[in-house]
Amino acid sequence: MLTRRSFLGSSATLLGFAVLRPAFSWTVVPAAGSDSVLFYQTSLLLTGRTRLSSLVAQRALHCLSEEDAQFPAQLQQLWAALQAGAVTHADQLNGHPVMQGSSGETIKKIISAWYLGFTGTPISLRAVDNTRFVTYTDALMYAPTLDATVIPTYSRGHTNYWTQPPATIAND
Amino acid sequence: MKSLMYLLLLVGSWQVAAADMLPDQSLIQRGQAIATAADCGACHRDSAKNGAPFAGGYAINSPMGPIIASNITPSEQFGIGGYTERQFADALRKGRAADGHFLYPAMPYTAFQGMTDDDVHALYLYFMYGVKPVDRAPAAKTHLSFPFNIRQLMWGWNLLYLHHRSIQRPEALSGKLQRGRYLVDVLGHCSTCHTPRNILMAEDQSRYLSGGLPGGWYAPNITPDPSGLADWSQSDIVTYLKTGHVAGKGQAAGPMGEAVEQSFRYLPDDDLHAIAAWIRQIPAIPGRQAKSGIRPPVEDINQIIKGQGDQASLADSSSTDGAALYSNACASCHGRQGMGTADSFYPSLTRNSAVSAASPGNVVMAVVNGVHRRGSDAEVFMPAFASQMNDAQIAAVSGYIRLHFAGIDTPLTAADVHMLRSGGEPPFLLRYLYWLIAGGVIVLLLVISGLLSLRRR
Repeated sequence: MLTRRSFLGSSATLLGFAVLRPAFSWTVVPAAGSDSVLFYQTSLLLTGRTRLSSLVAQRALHCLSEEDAQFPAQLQQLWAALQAGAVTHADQLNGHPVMQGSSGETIKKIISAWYLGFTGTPISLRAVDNTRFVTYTDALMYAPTLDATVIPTYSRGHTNYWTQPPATIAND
Repeated sequence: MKSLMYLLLLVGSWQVAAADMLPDQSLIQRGQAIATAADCGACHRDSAKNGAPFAGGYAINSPMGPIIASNITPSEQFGIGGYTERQFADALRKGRAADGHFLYPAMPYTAFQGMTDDDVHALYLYFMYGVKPVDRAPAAKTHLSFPFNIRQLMWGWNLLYLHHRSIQRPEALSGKLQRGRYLVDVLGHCSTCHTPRNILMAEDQSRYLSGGLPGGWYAPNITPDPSGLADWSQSDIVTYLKTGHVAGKGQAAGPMGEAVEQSFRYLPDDDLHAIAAWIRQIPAIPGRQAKSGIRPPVEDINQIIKGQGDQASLADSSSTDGAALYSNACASCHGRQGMGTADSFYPSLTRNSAVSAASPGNVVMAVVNGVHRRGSDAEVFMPAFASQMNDAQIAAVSGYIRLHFAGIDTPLTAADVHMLRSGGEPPFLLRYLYWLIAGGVIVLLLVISGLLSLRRR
């Protein structure tokens, strides 16, 4: 039974959560049906993967929302558009009408955060721009060649190894 | 006459002029090989990098204080130029300098006492005619804490320990094992570091080569025990001595790195095989083993690296988070998961005897001093973090490495790191020195009063 006390208590909690959410959104475990879950589902679909780091997902969502307060709303719209367009796999996106307009922009933002590991647009030779750090080592762009190369700045071999061409070069 | 000879040596025309006065060149070369096998250059080097060979000045850190290596070039005034062969042999084998003063056993005369007369002769000729004299004394002087600064004390110590080893000489050995024993026990003086010391700081021969603690480092058990080299093959040992590393097993740093750089990498393969053969057949002695098996939670790097931050966070280097320190300082070479590089040049930390050792000493000391070692195959360099990290940070990152890559939970504090950096755990003798002195004084007083009361009767 809903008493006045529990109603006030839960309202205060919800209000407090709503006020503080922007700061905590990437540390809080997402509740079902929240933006986080929606973002995670959308990301799986857009990247064509079955698993993604939930921590990176939270950080990406946090950074995208910081960059553009409208992002959660755009995410909802995108999800609706994907549903309406019956998109169930990333492969269907090529040439699909959902890639046009604002839903297309949102898709690019999300994919770019996952692959590049940052949000926003870097401006070279400028100390401050709107870029935000999501992840370095877990950026998906490194995954395709990870069997043969290491993530940049991590050493791949002995000192000055790059001065020698690889032994396999004849067969490559 | 001698100075004329030096002059000729320097000019380089001695071959013609002084050929008949100079000893056999092959004997001098043999002496040089002995000096290499005995690793004289590692200690008697200049304190400056790339200084003159054998000029002395390098400080050997002991818990009692730094012992400064002397000039052993044939300089009449500052070196050993005035030594007769007899005096030279006494310094080598008895620990007595030509002027009669006692040497500290940092100079491993307890090992060298087993040197053959022929080898001493060749070595003498090498130092007299094959080494350039350096006419200056090392700037620093050995000054140990009381009572270790009284060199005469070594007389008693020598009485107890100098001839200990000659008692247990093995009888029938094959030529290879004979040679191996001679290299390990005498010339290589391996036991100086690898044998634990007793309360009077002499090598405890009952625990021969089962692991020692030289100057903050840990010289591991090298007997064929599971805590030692049980899973090392003959060729593993030879490769290690030659190059300073064996992938997935270990790599030389600190004093062992110096031994590889100055000595082992120049030894002929036959000698290295003889060493390996000897240490593979000595009795296995159980040594300390670290308790491992803790499975730490997998670290998510995204939790650690949270982005560049602002100017203030960029300038802030006070973190004592082991994971963050590891990612910043170690991961670019040793890998995010401590796997090292594919070619094992930057060694794996997950399969590494230095990381999984009983003592955290070698991890801490490698972080503090870095590694700089020339092996027969490559030159290896790891930066020293002594000036970039404080003791607490070194403790944090060393603890992190031990926990995450070897499953060993050794709580390390800044005080532990400080202790290791300044020469290691003080030995029994030093810890209880004042109690021992007080006890001695009481015994002395009792003896005197006893004698007095006897006289009064």
